[in-house]
Amino acid sequence: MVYIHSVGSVGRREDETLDVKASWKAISAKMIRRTDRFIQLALLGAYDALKERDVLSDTALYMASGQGNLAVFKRLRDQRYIQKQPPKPVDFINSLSNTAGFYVAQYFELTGKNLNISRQSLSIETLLLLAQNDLALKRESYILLGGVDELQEPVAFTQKTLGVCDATPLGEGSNWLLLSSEKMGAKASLVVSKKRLDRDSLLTRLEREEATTFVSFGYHCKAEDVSAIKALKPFQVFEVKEGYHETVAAAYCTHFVTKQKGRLIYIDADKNGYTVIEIETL
Amino acid sequence: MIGSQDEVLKLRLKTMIIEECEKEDIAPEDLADDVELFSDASGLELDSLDALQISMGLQTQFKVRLGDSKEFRRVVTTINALADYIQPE
Repeated sequence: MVYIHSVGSVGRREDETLDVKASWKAISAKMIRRTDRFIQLALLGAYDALKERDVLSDTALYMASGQGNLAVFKRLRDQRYIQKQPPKPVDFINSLSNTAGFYVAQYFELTGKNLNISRQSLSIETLLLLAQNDLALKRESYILLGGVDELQEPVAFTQKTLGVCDATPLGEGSNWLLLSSEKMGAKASLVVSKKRLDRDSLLTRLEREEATTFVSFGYHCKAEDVSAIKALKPFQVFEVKEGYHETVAAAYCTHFVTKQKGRLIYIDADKNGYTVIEIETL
Repeated sequence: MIGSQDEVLKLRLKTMIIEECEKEDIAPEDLADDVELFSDASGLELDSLDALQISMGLQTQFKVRLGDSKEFRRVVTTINALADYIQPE
């Protein structure tokens, strides 16, 4: 069993604005040099998770992103192929996958393991499963786990990159959870499914839930399966208004712990089947 | 006009260095013409990555290509020295 000790979240839908620089300046008088918006987004979310508590220096940092720092990648591409210039050194460094994780670790003086995964679907579920295993095996005592995705303008560019239709409301977010196998002082428990479930296994699994359980559906759930789940029991649907990005599952986790009491089943899928994240507030 | 006498060139160089190194809390006029840029006295606290950024800024904004780190260390000492290198007469 994994316990959530703290959560932090910043995000927005595409029709909202989020001035990341101004938000960071409200926290710290000085901008952290050589950081771009993606990194600042990561810092803001992690700060929100840790602002009211001390964190052990050997806390591990696991970070996921669907696309990584896409803005700097796009800038590098333009510099190289359109402007015919070599990349700026800082842009090149920031294009590396774990630079945001480095800056978060540096700011909070974390010296533990620092991991980054970039995966187009179920990136949070994959990272949570890794954290669940590492905590169960006592490889780590605390893990700061976050999902960060930045919405790129124009929105049509992001729609094309993500392969989503025009009707899907997009968003961005930086959502972080401080996890441990220690129950004392925790806000919620969390379990992520170890195996993919097919439709029938998922329905069987949900039949065991009380009707008071909240359910949330990721963007890759099939509409007919969502209807079948809703027909099982009068589950309450827990919604997050952050819009779609590839680590939005982390937003469901952080928002539920912050805003709701009870039990949440978050369901999403990829081509191999369904995954389930269970959260129960304490 | 030799570069160190050209106030416009020196202001452009200072602005480029401040922007490339993200030192916007320092105003160009606060940067002395004859102080060693890579010294505590400059107040810039520059490191090796800043050197690369400045090298790129010189290339893109001033069309000056410095071959290697030895040449960089020889040329990029003070604003006056850099200005004289870019505009020797």
